[in-house]
Amino acid sequence: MEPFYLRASSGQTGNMSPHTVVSGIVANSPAEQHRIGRRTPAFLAGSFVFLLLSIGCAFDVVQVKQLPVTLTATLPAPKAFLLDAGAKVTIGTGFAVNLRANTTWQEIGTTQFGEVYSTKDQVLTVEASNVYEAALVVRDGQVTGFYLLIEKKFCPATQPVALATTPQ
Amino acid sequence: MKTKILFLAFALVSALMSGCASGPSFATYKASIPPLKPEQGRIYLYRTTVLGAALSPVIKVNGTDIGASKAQGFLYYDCAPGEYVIETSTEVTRKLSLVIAKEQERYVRLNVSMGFFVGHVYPELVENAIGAKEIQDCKYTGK
Repeated sequence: MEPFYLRASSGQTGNMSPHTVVSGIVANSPAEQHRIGRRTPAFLAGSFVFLLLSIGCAFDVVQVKQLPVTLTATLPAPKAFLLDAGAKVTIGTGFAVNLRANTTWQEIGTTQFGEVYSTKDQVLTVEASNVYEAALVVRDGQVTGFYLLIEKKFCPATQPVALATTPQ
Repeated sequence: MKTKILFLAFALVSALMSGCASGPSFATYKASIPPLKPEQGRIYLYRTTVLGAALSPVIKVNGTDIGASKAQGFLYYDCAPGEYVIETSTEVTRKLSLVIAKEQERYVRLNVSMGFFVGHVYPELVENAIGAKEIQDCKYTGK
């Protein structure tokens, strides 16, 4: 492969002496060689960091934690409740899930992590780099996490959140 | 020098404008949208922001290309009830998974966020009341 020469300044053309090349950059004077020689390692280090960052950014940065779960569809007489007060549930992605007050939730099944409820009164999604439609998972009056409807996985809450509810 | 700056500004504006939707607005086009078939559901996809207007990534639903996401544009997709994954790709792929029921309409807003080299377009499921309001000024960009 032919060496690549980049002129550091104008004023000289034609054949380049090999000793004037510093990491692909051609210097025209000893002072310039010294200056370029000092800056090149920093430039290379900066480029390397930039490359690492750009590679890192090409991937999904934040993932929703997904655990295996088995959903058993409900029962002839599903439970339901009215959420009396809003609640905020965190899942460790930086995106909290807000449960709206005065929404009615109906049981659609049970899992090892609790009962699974859905509602028609609000859109429920969990979010990180991607967004997943979900249902609420409740055990003993506390939100334990979310059931991802398409992925069929459980996304745990950072910590259980108590709900103020009225049975329907 | 002034001519060069003017030319560059013109080129920049042209490039940005080419990314904007140019069809009829939702309010105008609504009458042309066929009624939803009883055995199907419908997803409206729209993008309100002009931010990142030069970005118009393909929108895929379960891997099928259904059109491009253009600034201030909308399109819709009729489908059988079931599970769907909507994705858009720029330097990264952003996905939304959602369920569509029979005769259900859902609204997906395509947001734009900062990226490393280029912006990211990501789909977000929104409440129908919000979606129905926000889509009004968007222009049809469907196939």
